[in-house]
Amino acid sequence: MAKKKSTKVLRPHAEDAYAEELKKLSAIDDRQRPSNWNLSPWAVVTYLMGGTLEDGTVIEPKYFGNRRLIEIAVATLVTDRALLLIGIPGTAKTWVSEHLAAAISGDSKLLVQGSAGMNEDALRYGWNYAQLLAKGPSKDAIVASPVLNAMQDGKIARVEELTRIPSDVQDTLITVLSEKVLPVPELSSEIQAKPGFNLIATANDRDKGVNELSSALRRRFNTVVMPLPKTLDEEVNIVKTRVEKIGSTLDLPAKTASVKEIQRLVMIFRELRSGATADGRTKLKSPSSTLSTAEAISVINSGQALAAHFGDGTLKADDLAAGITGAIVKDPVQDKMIWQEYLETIVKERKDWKDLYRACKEIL
Amino acid sequence: MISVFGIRHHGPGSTKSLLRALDKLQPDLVLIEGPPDADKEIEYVANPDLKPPVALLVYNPKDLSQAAYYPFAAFSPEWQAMKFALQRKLPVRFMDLPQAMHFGLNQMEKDNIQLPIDQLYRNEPALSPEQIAMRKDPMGFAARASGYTDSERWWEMLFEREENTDDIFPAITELIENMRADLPAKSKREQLREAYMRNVIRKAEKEGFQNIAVVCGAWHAPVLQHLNRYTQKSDNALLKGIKKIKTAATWVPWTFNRLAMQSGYNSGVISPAYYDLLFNNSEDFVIRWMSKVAQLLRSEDLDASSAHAIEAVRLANTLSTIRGNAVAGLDELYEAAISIFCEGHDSKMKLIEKKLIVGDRIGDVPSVIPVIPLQKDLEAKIKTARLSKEWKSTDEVIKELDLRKASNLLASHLLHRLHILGIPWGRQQNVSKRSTGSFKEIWKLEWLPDFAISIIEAGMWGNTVLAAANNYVVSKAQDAKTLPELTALVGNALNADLPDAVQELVHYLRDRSALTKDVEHLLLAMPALVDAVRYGSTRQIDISALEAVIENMVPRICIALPNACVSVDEAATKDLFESIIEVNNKLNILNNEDHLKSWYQALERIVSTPKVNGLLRGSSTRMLFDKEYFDIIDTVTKMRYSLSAANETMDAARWIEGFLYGSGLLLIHQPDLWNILDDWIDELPMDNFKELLPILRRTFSAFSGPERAKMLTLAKHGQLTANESQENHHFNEERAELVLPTIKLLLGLKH
Repeated sequence: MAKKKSTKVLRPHAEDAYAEELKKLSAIDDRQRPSNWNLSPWAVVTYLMGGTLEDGTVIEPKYFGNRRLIEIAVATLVTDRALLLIGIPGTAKTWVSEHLAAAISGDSKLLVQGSAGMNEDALRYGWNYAQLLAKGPSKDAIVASPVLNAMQDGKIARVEELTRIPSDVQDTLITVLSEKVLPVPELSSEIQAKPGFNLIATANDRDKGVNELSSALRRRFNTVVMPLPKTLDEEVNIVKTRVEKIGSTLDLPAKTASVKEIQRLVMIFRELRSGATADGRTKLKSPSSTLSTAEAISVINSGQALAAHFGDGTLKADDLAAGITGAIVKDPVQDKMIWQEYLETIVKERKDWKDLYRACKEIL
Repeated sequence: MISVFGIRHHGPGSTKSLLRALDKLQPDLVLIEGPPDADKEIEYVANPDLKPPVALLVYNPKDLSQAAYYPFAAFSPEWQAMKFALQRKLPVRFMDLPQAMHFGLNQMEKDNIQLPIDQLYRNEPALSPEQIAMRKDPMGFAARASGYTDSERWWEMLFEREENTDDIFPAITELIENMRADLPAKSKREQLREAYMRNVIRKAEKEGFQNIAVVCGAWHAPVLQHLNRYTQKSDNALLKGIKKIKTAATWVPWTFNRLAMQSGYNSGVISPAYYDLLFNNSEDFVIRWMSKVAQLLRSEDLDASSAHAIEAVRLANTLSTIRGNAVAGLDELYEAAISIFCEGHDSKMKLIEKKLIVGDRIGDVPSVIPVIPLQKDLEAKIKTARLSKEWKSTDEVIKELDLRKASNLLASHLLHRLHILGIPWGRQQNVSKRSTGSFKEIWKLEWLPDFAISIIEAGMWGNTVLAAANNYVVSKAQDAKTLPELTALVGNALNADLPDAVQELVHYLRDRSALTKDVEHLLLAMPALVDAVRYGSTRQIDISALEAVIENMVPRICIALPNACVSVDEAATKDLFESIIEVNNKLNILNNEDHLKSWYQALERIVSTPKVNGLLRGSSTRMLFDKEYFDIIDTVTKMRYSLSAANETMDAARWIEGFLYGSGLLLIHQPDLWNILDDWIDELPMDNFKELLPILRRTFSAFSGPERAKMLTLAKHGQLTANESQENHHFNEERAELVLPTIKLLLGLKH
């Protein structure tokens, strides 16, 4: 299942890691494909949600959630409206956007990472100053941004953390999205997008101090809200699968974390996040940290690394304690109190959780 | 020849197929699954003023708890089949088991009477949830099995194609036959219904009809199609011995809301508004649906442009393609709307969901349809009270009435009368205390289709709203067990302007009050009676009879009250305390000297009876002091006596609570009283003080802020001397004189 590539990189791109699956899908896919799409919309949904093809090829699920959300996302990209994935950190927004781009264009690398210090050039184009000085303004002197590249090649561009980009810079996208054209006033010309061009943006609605989208820009996007996993089992399943995946790419010793440990961890995260115990009997304070599924995955991972290198190879409470505490206690005063309270009132009382209680107490 | 058309109740898809098939068949008789009790009502369907959604109401005129509604929308196949037949002047009949027999069966089940069928089917078959779902909505079940969430879309995909329209009904019959074969024996009622339907068809055949169209729920199609599999003898045997109860039937307006499944209607549909759109505009319903979303959002002051609608239509269509459906269904529409109009959050959609999904259409019944006289009178009264707009409105309406206006007064009387009759169209809301006077009434009006049956039920009391309400109140009065029940009725009757009923009630009151031994009841009844006398004069009611009742009641109260106050527990004391204050207020308002004299004497006896709870003695003292029956010297004596050290401290504290009810000004203006209280608290041992603190706090916290502030200063200063409060300030005579001319001018006095 795990596709170990001979090219040694820390983390291969989606289109490389799953090249085999994409090839098989493309071969079997006889439905109509929008122009410049590598796959039909149906095949894209199948790629993300997983399934077994007619020839017996198993497609791994990439997203463990509501199929309908992915269907809406893909349908949006077909209707040449841009897609905006919104959700709290760790709800697989980036993950989904990467795989969508890989499946549709075979290229998930046309990526702009949004940040507060960004200027328009990052979304439009820059200049090759040597060229500019030598020959004056010309098409050759333009250094294309990933968005411009995507327009020229008819591919999917991705913008991460759209709301972190200053508002005036965000608005550069309006013309690109509504008229599919990027004016180049310096050359009195423009660059028109090829069919197949579209844009997937992600944004999180938990952070403070972000730049709200202008309503003009918001209208150019279809919004899909990425939810947190609904049930404990669903979340445990996600953590388990992802941990196995990451473990294999990081060359960690093969022993996988026990479901029991994952369940305990996910339960702690869910309870603290929702502010109530799983049985709904006790109200809890919620810490300032987001405690998303992604964080649960990274806690298990670091625990596994600890166990592999410093322990006996099996994941135990001691290995997890540091990770858990680090994930929960983001504010050294408030969160610490909340975590201590949770330890004393909930963890201590649970029968099989004594080891976890001791391990966490030691660290605090 | 018999042609059976198995339809889906309220399914617009099957309606269209049915109409096409009927047109092709050209039958000479149409039989429809419906109550034969209402055969006579079918002809009204041709009347253009009978606007669906409407329902057939079949009821037992002698016992209105036995009633059944059969709702129809314009898109219901049964409705369209009736219309089809009437337009072509074809005979059309209902063929289901009559409601008369349903009621009879209910009765027999209650009385445990055995029927032939009970021998055959002893036990209801136990079904799995899947089988229950299959039986309830076979079409929906088949649709879900083929991957559709919406059976109408499935129907459209499967049957509405041009090339196979002819054969769809035989195909459906076959499909259902296969489904039914998988299920165990049917329920008793279903057996009886199907036997009856077969009998109706046989009878029609005997009458000589050649080409009979049978319209029934798809579930029944196979057993009606293959008549020869059943013998008339066995069917007759099944139906033998069922009691019949005489029924009446009429059309009543219905609402989309009641047609929706959410309202608990078994054969309901998820979205009547959507089905309506689908039936009337199947070509461009996605566009119309999205435009409706945009308009509804705009009416809620939310941004929604036409561009949004365009994008949403495109997304919905693309989404259905990705899901492998040829056309968008309700799910796709809804999800696309959330994504485009609402930025992914469904809170905005929730705002318009009721109007969008369920719809707010409401049916209408023309005046030619015979209704009971009460209904006619009610409609006329609604018109004169100018409430026509609110009647049959699906939304809740808040109506403010100013009783000084003639039409508003009429409206108020009408609403009160309907309330008495158990037709709770309006619910009176509490008018906030700040709004002045009792001229204002606020009503929350919400019309429900069920009022149809309530009106028929109320019809037994009289043919006009006034007469019915009058009779109802009087009959209630006969059943009333206690005096307060009676006086409450008097209050209702006064509000509803029922002078005849009030006169009648007064007789009952007189008899009842003479027999009542419970002084508590007399106390409770008193305020309502006094109100009746006060307001009765403005409502053309002869109040002399009421006054006579009060005349008799006051002495009874005054004689019995002091004894009733002795040795009662804490809770009863509290009730008595409140009643006494209320009665005291009312008697003072009436201001009848004789009454007041005996009332004061009664209070005085309470004050001087030692076993009476301090609360009552204190409050009585205060009332007498307020009315100057006690002068200050008397009061000081009583207070000192009650607060002497020999008394139980708890009782003393209660006395204070009673004495100071309502206002503490007394203490500020009467230094003698203040000083007694001050001394008493001073001398309290610490332990007792702690014990009493809650009561004292409760007493004093009821006073207004300035009063308490003043008391605090007094308490800081310690003892007051008698003249301190009226202390002579040092006036500057010269300066005072300067303002006198102006004051004279203001008062209009001569210099």
